[in-house]
Amino acid sequence: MKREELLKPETLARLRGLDIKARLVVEGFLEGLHRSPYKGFSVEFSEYRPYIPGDEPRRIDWKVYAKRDRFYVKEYQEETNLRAMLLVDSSQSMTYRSGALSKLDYAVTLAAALTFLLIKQKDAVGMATFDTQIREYVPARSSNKHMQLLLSRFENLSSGGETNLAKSLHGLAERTRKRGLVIIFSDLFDDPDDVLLALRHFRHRKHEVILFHILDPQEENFDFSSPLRLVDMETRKEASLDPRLIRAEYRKALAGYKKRLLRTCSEHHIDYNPILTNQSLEHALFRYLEKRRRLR
Amino acid sequence: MFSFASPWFLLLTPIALGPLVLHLLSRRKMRRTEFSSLFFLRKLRERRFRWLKLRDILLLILRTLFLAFLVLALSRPVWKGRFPVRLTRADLVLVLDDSYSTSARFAEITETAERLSGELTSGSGLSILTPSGVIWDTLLQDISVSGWETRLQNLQASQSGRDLEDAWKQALSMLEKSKTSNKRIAFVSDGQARALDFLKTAPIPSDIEVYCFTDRAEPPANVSILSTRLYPAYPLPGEDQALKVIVKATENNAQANLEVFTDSKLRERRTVSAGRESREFLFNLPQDAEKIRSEIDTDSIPADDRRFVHGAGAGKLKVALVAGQDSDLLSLGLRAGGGLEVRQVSASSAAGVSPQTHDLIVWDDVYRPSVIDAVTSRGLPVFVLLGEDAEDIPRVFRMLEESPAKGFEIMASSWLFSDLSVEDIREIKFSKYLRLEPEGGNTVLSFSGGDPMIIADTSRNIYYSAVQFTPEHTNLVYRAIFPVFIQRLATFAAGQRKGNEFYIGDTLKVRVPTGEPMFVETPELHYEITPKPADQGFLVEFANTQKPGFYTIGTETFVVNPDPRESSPEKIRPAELEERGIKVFPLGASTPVKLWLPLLILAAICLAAELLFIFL
Repeated sequence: MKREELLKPETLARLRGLDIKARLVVEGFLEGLHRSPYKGFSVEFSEYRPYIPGDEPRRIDWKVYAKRDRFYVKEYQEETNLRAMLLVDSSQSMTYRSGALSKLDYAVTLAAALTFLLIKQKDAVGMATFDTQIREYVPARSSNKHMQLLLSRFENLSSGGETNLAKSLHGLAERTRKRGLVIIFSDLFDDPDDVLLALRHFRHRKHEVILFHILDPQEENFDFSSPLRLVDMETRKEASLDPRLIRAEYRKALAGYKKRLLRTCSEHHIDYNPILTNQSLEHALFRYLEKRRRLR
Repeated sequence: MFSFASPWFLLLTPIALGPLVLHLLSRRKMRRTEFSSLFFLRKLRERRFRWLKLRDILLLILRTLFLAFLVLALSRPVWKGRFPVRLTRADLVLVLDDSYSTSARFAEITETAERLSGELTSGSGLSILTPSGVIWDTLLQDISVSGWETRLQNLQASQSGRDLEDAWKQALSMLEKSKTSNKRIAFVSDGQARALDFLKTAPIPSDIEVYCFTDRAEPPANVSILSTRLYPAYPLPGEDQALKVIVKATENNAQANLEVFTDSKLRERRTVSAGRESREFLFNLPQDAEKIRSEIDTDSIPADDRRFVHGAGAGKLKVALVAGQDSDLLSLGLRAGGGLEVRQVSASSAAGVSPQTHDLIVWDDVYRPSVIDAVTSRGLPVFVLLGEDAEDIPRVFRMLEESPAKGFEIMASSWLFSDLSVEDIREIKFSKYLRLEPEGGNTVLSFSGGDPMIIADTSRNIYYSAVQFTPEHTNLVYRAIFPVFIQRLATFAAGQRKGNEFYIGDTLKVRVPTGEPMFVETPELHYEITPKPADQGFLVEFANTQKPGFYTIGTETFVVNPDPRESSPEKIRPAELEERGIKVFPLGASTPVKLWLPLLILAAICLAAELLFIFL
């Protein structure tokens, strides 16, 4: 199977076992090019660089000074000091699907792939699921055994009820004390002001945040053809409507919502990634790696 | 009050409910689909859903209204509002047509008059005239004077045939005394052209508004028997025979009672529906039937048609009608009124008819010259219906083995037909406007504008008619014309010259040398009347000629008939009156407002609004 095929949602939907999916995705995607974004004291040497006024004098390598008669500062690469928390929205709305994968399937596969990727780099990974409240919380570890635990939790994830995204995120922000990378997978069906406030909470805790806004293509396009009665999967409330009459308005409202999220996330250095469930996972993984590069 | 010119379109009214039904059906059939969240839809609902819901309801209403207005417009509703003459205080002279032709419509005429009078504003003046005289005159008083209602309700159609010109002149002279600025004359008539024709040319004073309420109803359908034949023509021994009657009508869906007689007894009466296309009806016959006859039951003729049937008068002129039981003319001849008494005579006994028992013998049977000669030799005039079209008069003469040069005279065709439209004249198939140039023919009796249709052998007192009265016209024209035709001919043949023929309502005048009282004999009563002095001697005037029949004043006899022109179906065209500034309305209607155009405009507005909503 070609590498590109492995990353397609249709292919992944046919595969069984989340661990296999995750491994195939990651192996198909990258070849171990992964570094910790945090530089500092560590056992692994990274490089020399000329001394700049302001650098701590204790970091000057005096042996090099003796040889070159210039100040050089010795830099090291930290090995496993990235703590990543994968937060997956498991509300009922996430189970919606119009194609091969539901939003929850897509989020779980992506989270599993990232888990696999992070653990392989010896980073610590934790996970949490939430709907109206936090349903599961697994602190970050970096062992292979922990990875199996996480994959098992992801695989057995069940959808919950309604979404109270902001409340759950606030709770998780409080609970995740050590700074690290927070990756959120959600359809973000909540009041945008509350969501953004919760995201700022993570930033306040000095977390780096990647937000995957996962939507189904049908939610994006709203291209139902005939009048229908829509039933809210979370609240079971119904609305009779002719989609042709409100399609434009719907798309406009959604685009406005996304634009607002993008703008506010950008202001707070949150990496906002809208993604559709019919898009290749490669796209999402690239987004993650880009973020990692920026963090270096 | 609403009425509809094309009410059958109202059957389409349920179509207007179509959008509502479709709306409800579409709601019922609406697919139920799960969707992740109505989060954005809820947000939309706040801003736009209300408008969309309102738009849906508005579209539904607009579509329903569009269809409703369209259906209503197609049914051409007319709002019969109040009369136009009531709007202001005015002096109104109502001229009611009570001529013989209005008899079938007279209730509507009086009803219209009553409504017109009843809606006059306080302070208005009212006079009611008919050609027969003044019914009510409070023109210079207030309308509040009661009594006119009773007068109107007691009013009946006369048998006279006067037009309305004299009443019009009288109305004008009455209004001359009126001091109000609103002077109005309203004619209420059946719309017969001869009664109102004068309005096309009569000078109309500028200060008088003229209204005309006329009946625009079409003449009733004419159902007729085209032909009859036995089926099978040659039955085998013991095989039943049937009579096949082929019926046709001038309009579709015209109903009439078709009767079949066998041996002079009514065998079967059946209500049939005839149309413009001929239809066949089969009647089973008994095996031993000998004389078979079929006819349209005259009692099934619509009421409108009854005005053409002349009232039966006391029989003075006795006419023998030689006709078989199957003669189409027999029943009509027997009904001929106006001073005629028609008796059926068989061909075999016709030779015995004499001037002592009869005044005229009408021959509608196999032509038997020997019998006719025997009758005429006794001095009795004979009228022979040849049953031929007079298209080929020379051939008629050849058939009679006579020469037109030998004392035959051509009688001009009947003025009785002059009132009929060209189509009607063609219908009765007389002569096809024959242009015969007779040798030495003299016109002895003017029946019409000059076309010959009756050939008179004046030397032998025989009158031949080449007019073919076909069974197609057993209802309307035929019924209307034939009795009058016979009546007139009988009057002529019996020596009653035209000068002594009058119509109902006419005044009979006789000059006498002395002023001694004289007896006047009428069909009903006897009067004694004293002559009035005149320029040369004395004059007797008798105006009470309300019944048809013979009137004798002293030694002079007058024939008083209903005016045959009253049978004319020709109506005056409203456009001709409107050209003269006369406001014309249908009889019984008042200020009719035709609503189809406003409704069509409303439908168009609904459609435009709907399109606007859709594209907004």
